[in-house]
Amino acid sequence: MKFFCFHLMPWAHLPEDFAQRYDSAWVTCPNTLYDPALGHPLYNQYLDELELADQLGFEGLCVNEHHQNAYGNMPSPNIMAACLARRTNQAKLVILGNVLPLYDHPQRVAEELAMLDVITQGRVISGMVVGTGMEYFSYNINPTHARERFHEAHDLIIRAWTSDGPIAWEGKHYRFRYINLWPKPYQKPHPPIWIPGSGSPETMQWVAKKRYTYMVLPTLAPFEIRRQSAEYFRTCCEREGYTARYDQIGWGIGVYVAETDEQARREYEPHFWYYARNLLRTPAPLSLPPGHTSLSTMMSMAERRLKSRPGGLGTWEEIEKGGYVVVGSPETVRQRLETYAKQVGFGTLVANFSVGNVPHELTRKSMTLFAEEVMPQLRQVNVDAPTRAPVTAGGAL
Amino acid sequence: MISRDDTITLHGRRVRLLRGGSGIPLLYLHDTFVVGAVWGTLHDRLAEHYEVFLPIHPGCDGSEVGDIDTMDDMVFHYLDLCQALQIEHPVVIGASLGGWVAAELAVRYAPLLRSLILLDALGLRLEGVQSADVLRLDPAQTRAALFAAPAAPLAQQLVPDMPVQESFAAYLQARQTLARFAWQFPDNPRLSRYLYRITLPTLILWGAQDGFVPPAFAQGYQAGIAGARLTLLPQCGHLPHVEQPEACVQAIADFLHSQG
Repeated sequence: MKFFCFHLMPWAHLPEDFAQRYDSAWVTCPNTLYDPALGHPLYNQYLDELELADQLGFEGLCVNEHHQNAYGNMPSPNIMAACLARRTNQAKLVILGNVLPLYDHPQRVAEELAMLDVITQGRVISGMVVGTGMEYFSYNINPTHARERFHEAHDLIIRAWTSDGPIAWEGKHYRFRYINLWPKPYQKPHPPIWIPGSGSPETMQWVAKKRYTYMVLPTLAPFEIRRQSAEYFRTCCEREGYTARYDQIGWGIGVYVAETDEQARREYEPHFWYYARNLLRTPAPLSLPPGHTSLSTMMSMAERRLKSRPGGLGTWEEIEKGGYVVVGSPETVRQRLETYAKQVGFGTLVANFSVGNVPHELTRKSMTLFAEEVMPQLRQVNVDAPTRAPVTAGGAL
Repeated sequence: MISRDDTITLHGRRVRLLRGGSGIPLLYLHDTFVVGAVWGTLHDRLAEHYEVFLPIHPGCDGSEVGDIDTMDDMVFHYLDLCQALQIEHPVVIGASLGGWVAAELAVRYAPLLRSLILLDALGLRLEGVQSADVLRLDPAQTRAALFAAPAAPLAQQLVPDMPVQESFAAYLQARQTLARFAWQFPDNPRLSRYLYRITLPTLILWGAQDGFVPPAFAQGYQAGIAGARLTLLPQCGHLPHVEQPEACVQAIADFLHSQG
């Protein structure tokens, strides 16, 4: 198994009564609640945590993109990756991902990632996402075009990375006479691609076809539903005529390690609720704008959402039983992750250590315990046979 | 009474078409909030004197979206439909999104139409007046925006708190259709400068309590269309044909009668 440290960079200073006073942490959440004087140490704390992950031997550091919200303060993930580029030496920089449909010039994404890839001598992994429904409100992008724009922007970026320019691009949403990337990416043919998802079958079929890595997002969906997603992805790979590698399945999950189970829960739980009750606060119309997902997915999601929102998850026991997070002593965390890994068949663990407003010292301690007492044994689980050579673009890490 | 509910094919796209009555042709372009029973009291009454054509918009329940993507596509779609069915010089009535389509048709092809009736039409951009971002609203907020009486059974039935299983797909399709043309800004910023081209007898019929496109938009249409008659319906929101059907029928009948 390979270990990646994922950070959401949440706003940690929402008022105590946030959930009573505001209906959303997104789009309309007033930015009077943001204070740059508190934001300065917070950004640097979060970047320190990712740098620590590099020192602790994580294979990669993950950042992502969200706009106009308290949930994750990285409107530009590429800037965060740039901050990390020259402060880290080993870890891959996983931009998980750029929200492609938001951009009228996808070549800007191609350019920035190529810059990062060259600067880091090929440490970039490029995640590409359709993005949450909320982003379509924040950027006034028509959600009924989301899928089309995603696929066209993806194709354009791959072409830009792999073509000898200049070339022209003639599509429905994008038209350019001159695509001619300076710089080109360091990795050949281009940086590996990860696609995070929350269970949409269309996405999984496409990822399998492209032989990219599919990452099951750490949404607060029950373990069993997320496990079925991974299983469906493997089925899609079989249909494409190959067996998915372990590391082709990423598993996003909240992790917290402390000296004992009891202590871990005591230290983690209040910050988890800060996350679940404040940061995930999203009115359904914002998260599910029309057309953002297909009709059938929309219908099953709406149904699932009603059952699985944290609003309906009142107790810690439900959170633990549902496998939303893995919290406990090193022994407990190791056992549970090993069980999950074997049940799901994932070989890429994408762990989120910093939840809600958890203090820096606790995150440091948890990450260190994880690296020293959990990682070594789990490394032996779900190991792929070495590949002879990178088979296709983006398949191997 | 609907006398026919069938599907025609238009340039490879299936279109569901409701029809009733006989007489002068009347093309009714529907809204995206009344799903299921699109044909209502208003259409029954209109069918007593007119041959009513009520096509379901591309992308809504029963009609394929095909490659219909822009308002121009919609205008051509309805020109094609009129041509295919030999609908000549129709009275055109459009509600909400349908009203926007009707206005776009009228600025281009007024000579092909008999008269125009806009019911709380989308489409106009007005300086200093905002329409509501209805696709952001939860069911309770949506009822408050669309209805003068948001607590009435009608509002609860058309905008339920929990999706109704049988009509959920149709409801999602209608929302997608609205979003396709009206995402965040339900208007064409260029439309107002061409309203002078609507040289047709025009009735602008509007709910006085429309919280989606408030009556200021009705006045905007009236200001741009020479001779247009404006009628505001009291105790009425965005959907006069369902919230005040009798008053709506009366206002339309008066207007059409005055045209002879």
